[in-house]
Amino acid sequence: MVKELDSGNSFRLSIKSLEDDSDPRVVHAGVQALCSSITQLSQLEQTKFAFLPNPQYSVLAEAIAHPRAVEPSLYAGLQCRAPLSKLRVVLRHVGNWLERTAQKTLFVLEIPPSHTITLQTSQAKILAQLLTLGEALLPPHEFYRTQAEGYVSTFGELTPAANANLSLVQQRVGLSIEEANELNATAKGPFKALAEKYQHFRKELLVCKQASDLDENFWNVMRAKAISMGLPEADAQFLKDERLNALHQEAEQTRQQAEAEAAAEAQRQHERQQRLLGYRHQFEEMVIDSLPQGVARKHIGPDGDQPDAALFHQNVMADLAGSDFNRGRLTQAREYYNLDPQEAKAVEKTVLDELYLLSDLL
Amino acid sequence: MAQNIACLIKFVDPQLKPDELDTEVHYLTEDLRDLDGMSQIRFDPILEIRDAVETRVGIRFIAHSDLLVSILRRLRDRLYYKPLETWFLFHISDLNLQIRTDQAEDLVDLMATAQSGLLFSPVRDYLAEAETYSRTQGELSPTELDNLNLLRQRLSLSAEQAELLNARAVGPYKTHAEKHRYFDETTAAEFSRLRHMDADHPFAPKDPWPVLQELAENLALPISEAEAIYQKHWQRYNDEIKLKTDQQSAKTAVDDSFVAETKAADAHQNQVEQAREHLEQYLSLCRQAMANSLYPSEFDQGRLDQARRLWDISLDEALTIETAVRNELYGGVESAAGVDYNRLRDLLLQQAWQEADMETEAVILKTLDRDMQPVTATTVQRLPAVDLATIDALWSRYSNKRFGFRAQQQVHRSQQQIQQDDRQQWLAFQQALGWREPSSLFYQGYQPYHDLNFSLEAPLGHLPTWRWCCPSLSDRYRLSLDVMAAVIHHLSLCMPLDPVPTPAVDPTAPTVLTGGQTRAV
Repeated sequence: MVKELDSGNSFRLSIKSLEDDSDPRVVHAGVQALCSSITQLSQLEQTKFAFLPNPQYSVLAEAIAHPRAVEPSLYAGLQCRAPLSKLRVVLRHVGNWLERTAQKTLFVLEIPPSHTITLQTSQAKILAQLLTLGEALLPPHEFYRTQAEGYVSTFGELTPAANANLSLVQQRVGLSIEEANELNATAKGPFKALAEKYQHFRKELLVCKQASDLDENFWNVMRAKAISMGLPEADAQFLKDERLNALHQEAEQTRQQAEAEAAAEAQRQHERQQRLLGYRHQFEEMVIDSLPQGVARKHIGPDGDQPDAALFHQNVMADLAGSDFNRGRLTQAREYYNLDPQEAKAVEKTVLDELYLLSDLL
Repeated sequence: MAQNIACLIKFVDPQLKPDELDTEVHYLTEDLRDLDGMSQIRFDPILEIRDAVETRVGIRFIAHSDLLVSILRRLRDRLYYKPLETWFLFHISDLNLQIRTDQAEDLVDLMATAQSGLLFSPVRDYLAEAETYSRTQGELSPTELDNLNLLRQRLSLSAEQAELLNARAVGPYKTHAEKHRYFDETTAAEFSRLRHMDADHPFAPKDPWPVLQELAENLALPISEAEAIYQKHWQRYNDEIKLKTDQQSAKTAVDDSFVAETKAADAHQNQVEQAREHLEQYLSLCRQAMANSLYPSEFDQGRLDQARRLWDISLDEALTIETAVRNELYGGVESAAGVDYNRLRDLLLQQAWQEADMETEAVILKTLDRDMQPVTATTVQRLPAVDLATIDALWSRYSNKRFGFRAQQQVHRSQQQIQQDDRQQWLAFQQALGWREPSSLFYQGYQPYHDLNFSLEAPLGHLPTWRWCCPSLSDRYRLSLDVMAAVIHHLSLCMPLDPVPTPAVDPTAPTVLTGGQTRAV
């Protein structure tokens, strides 16, 4: 988790041009260039700057001279706050900038706990004293601990590069190896390695059984837990996304399973329909085969004038049952399509009804 | 090289009343004046208007840099006993140092810095110069060391002091090569950590470059060089990841292809299995339908016909299966001569022995294609072995091995062992089969056909008769010895009997004489 910058773990640097005779636009461009180049340094992309307006510059006069090109203000300096771990990088960067501009500039460096160093110079090598003195004035334990905590809050553990940096800091501020180890252990917290933190955090997230469980309230608790165990926010977020993905996958699997069950049921229904249809075709064939001469008068009824469906059914079925061969076919077909007697009867009745309706036409 | 420091100390605690402020300023002045070497210092009051009264809120004075440590110690002690918020300002050459605090500890680091000399001009200037040099190439070059030596002399620093400051400036890795190596090793370790993490559960990806960049800064290794080292390791790591991803993709593609092939093969296999299953089901239905009769009942035929349609079995396949089942259950009717033995099988199944014998005569003559011509010893040899085996198997199956050619061969063999003389052998053979009775002066002993025993009580090998060998199928038939010998010979070629096991001769057993033969009993 990236800590908020406060006066305990950061420094504030104010830079202001003291060149009264210089063109305010040149000074302004120099300030903007410095601001832009500092934000290009790694991990300083989000640095916030306050700009100091140039008192020599009159907006009103400029507006009269160039009415179409009025600028709100021109800057004579800037102020920024950055993590203590970046003191060296920033001051060296500012030193390079000073070497290029060579303008007389006021530098005010505020470092914890309550020191303010003020220096006026136009030379980079004199500005280098600010770094030497600034680092010398920092409380060694606090400085080292801040650095170590910074690494842990970014990487979740002390990586080889972080350890290498800390080793240099330890020698520079004059801490013993034992003191440094003790401070490292404090910075790491209860879990020494990132993998352990991941394992623990993953386990904690398992209590969420569905995506809605991982709501804002729960996540606030987990974030607090992540901070307390020294798990960086990026990692906590990563694990949250991982858990959410897993939950979504589980939900998707459940949905797919339900769909599969529904599909299986639909398939069962379809197969049943197919069986009924198959039996119907077979029964139709059997009836047709058993009546090679077509529907005879005897099937319709004795008088022939008032056809009776029930009688028609009875006669056709009697014809079918009259032949052992046909009975064998019927039995085999019913067994094959695995139909219960009611289903088979219903299909047979439908076929015979249709045949009965057609009998008038035959 | 001592220098003067302008000091300003002002109480800024808002709780202090003007009279308290005045008192505090008084005691502060006294405390400082009390220090060694401070008695001659001039302390100027800082005056401010408080509650419309001009009040002393602090003091200003100029002291020698050598005294700064003891001044700071005294100020620290005062804060320790009375933590009043105070503003301290020290003007040291072109540098202002301010501290605003009520904590005694906040002055400790300043004391340490003052003691180390870093606060003051010679040490501070030298160190700044040395650090600037060390940053350019990552080490102090001989020329830079020469320059620093000149600076040391100008600043009146001792060689030992300069050496310490040089060491501080370059850090623990003295040369550029050492720094390069250390950075390279650390970067390698950093990527090794990433590899290790990749091998386990997934982790949130993080860019290691910022910390390595910081390390390069701390080591004073040029950033461009550090970046080149980082890029080298990053490229290697990236190539590995890409390779792994490519391998994984290739494996997935192979797996997918394998799954698709397996699926297609399974589908094909299922079709084959289903077809096979249907054939087996049909076979089973046939067995069921033909279990009790050679030909299925009309009802069963209906079932078989419907099953054949439902299981999509062709007529030929169905017929083949039915024939196979019939052969399996009732004996095969194979014929090399294309003769139909179905009627013979029907008759034998019904145990209609005489009709079966007459059918046997008919099929044999049909096989030999004699067309009303007498059978000779030569024509007998044209009887196909397959047909002989079929006839024998049917007779044997339905008579429980009592009848058939094999039974007749066995009888012949037993007679062979008994009779030495050929003629006697054939006579005894026919008598054993029940085809003749012993002859007498007026009776040759031939049994007329209608007197033969057409039942299971008949002697072993009694049926089928060999009347088909005779010139005519008359009731009073007589078998020629030549033809009989030819039949037996042909049977022994087509259906050889198992060799007779030689009985073990017991030397202690007594010997008996039977018809001039000596046999072991």
